[in-house]
Amino acid sequence: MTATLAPTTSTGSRGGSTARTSVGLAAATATLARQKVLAAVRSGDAVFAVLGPVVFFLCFYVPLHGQFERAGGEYAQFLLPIILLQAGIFTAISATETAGYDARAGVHERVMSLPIPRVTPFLGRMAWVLTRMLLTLVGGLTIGYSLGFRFHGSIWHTAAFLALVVVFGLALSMLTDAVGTVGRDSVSIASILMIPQLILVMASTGLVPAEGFPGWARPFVRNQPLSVFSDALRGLADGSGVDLTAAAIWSVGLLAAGSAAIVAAARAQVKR
Amino acid sequence: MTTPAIEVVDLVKNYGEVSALKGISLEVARGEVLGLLGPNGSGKTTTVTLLSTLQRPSSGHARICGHDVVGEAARVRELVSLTGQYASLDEGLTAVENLAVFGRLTGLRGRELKVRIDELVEQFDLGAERDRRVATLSGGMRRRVDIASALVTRPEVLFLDEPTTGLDPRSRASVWDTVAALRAEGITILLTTQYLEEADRLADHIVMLNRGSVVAAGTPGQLKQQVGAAVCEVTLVERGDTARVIDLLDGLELVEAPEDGTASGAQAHPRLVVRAPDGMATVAEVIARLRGAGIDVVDIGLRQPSLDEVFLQLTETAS
Repeated sequence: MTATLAPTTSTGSRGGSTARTSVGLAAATATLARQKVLAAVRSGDAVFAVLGPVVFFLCFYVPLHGQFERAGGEYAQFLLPIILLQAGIFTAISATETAGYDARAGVHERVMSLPIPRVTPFLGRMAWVLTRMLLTLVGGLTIGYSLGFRFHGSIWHTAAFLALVVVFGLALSMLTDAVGTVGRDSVSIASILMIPQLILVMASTGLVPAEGFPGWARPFVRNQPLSVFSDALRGLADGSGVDLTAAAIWSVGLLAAGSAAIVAAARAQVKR
Repeated sequence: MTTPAIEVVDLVKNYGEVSALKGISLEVARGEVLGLLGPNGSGKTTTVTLLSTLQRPSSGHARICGHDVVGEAARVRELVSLTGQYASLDEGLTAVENLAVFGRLTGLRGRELKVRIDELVEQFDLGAERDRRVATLSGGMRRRVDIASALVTRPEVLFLDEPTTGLDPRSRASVWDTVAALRAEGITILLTTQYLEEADRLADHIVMLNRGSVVAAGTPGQLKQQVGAAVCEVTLVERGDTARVIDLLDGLELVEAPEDGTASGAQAHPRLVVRAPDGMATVAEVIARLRGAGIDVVDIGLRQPSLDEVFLQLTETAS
C-alpha cells in the first residue's frame, strides 16, 4: 500500500456540487434493503438461509423417518412445517444481530441525520427478513419435495401455508429487532436465543406427535406456539380439516407484540 | 445580513437528573469553521446530537440556516451532514458501495452518482481501496471513507464530531487538509475536538465547553489574550540553579516551574515560565536579574500562552 495521505489535486470540489435532497420512503427503503441483502450475501447468511433448513431437515429425517413410516405416515409431510418454523426462528435470531449492528454508536446517528423518513432503516431490515424467509422457503421446499412432501390442498391452501411461514418469521423478527436495537450486546443476545429455540423445537408436535411425550409434558407440547403453527401448516399442506383459529390468534398476537416492541425500542433509542 | 449557518440560543438538554447542556448560546457565520472544544462529558457531542435533529432539546432553540431543528427537522436534515468519531460504515460493503448508499440516501443516483463517487475516490485518495471491504481497511482509511461518504452530496453545514480521535499523525494531517479544503469551498463546519492544537489550527472561532456550559468563546487569538499577557519562558543550563532562579524572579507570577530533583529527567534543561505583563520589558528585567547573579540560560523569550494554558486556566476558574 503506497497511497499517500497528502491531499490530491483534484477535479471538482471536495464538498460536492449537488445539494442534498430528501429521499422518499420507497427509494430510501430500497437502498437500505439492497445494502442489507448485499451484506448478507457477502457474510454468507444468505447461503445459510437456503441451506439451513436442508441440513436440519436431513438431521431429523434420516434417523426418524423409518420408525415413523413403519407406523404408516409420510415423515417428510409431517416434518417440513417445523423445519420451516425453525428457519423462521433463525431468521429472527439473525435479525437481532442486524439490528444491533445498525444501533452501534455512530451508525444510528449517521443514518438518522439523513434526509429520509424515520422508519426506513427498520423497513430496510424487514425487507431483508422477508427476503431471507423466501430463501428459506426455497431451501426447505426443495428438500421437502425431493423426499416426499406435497401440497394436497387448493392454491389458496398453499398460499396460506407460505404466508403463515413468512408471517411467523416476520413477527418474530420484529420482536428480536427491537431487542437488538436496545440490547447492549446483540451478538451474545443472539447466541442466548439459540437455547430457548432448541427447547421449543424439540418439545413440540413438529418432530413427533404429542403421544410421544410423557403425559405431564403433553399440555405444554400441544399448546406451545410452534406446535400450534406446525399443526396449522400441516393442515394447510394436506388441504383438509384445518382449523386456523389458534394460529391466527398467535400470528396477530406476535405481530402486535412486535409492533409494540419496535415503537418502544425507537422511543428508548431517542432518549438514550 | 444573511442568516447565520448555525444559531443556538439558551440550549438545554437534560437526561433525567443529569444536565448535559446548561443553556449554551453560539452563532456560526456561513463558511466559517467553529471549533467546539472541551474534555469528555463537556457537552460537545450532545450539542451535535441536538443540532443534527437526533434528539430534541429540553429547552432553548437552535436553527440551521434559519430553520428550526425541532419544527423543521426534515428540512434541517437536507442541510447538514454528520460524521462522527466512530466510522459509521457498513463493514460488509466496499468503500465505493458505502459511498453509493450515502449518495442514494441524500438524493443522488444514476450517472451523476457514479461520476461523484469517482471524484471522491480521487479526492480522498481511495484508488487502491475502492473495491476493498471496509472491514479490511485501517482506522485512518476508514475515517477517510467515512468523511467522503458525508460529502457525496453537498451539505451546507458539516458536523465533524472528534474526527481525528484515535488517528495516527499522518491520517490526522489528512483530515486537517480536508477541513481546510472544505472551508475554502465555503462549507460551514462545526468541529468538535479535545485537541487544542487542532482547534487552534483549523477554527475561525472557538467555543470552549466545560460541564455543559460555555466557559470561553472567541477567535484563537482572542482566547489567548483573554488569559492575559504573554509569558516569558526561560530555559536554564543547570538544573541546580532552579531554586535560586525562582528566588531571583520574586515578584513575577510563576506559571510553570520544573519539579524538584530528578523528577523530570526527560527534560535535560529545566524550564520556567513567568507572566510577562509588560512584554519585552519583563523579559529585559528577567535577563538583567539572571545576568546579575551569573546564571547561564539556554534560551529566553517572549511567547503567547498556548491554548492548553488558556483551557486549563478557564476550566479551573469555572469549577
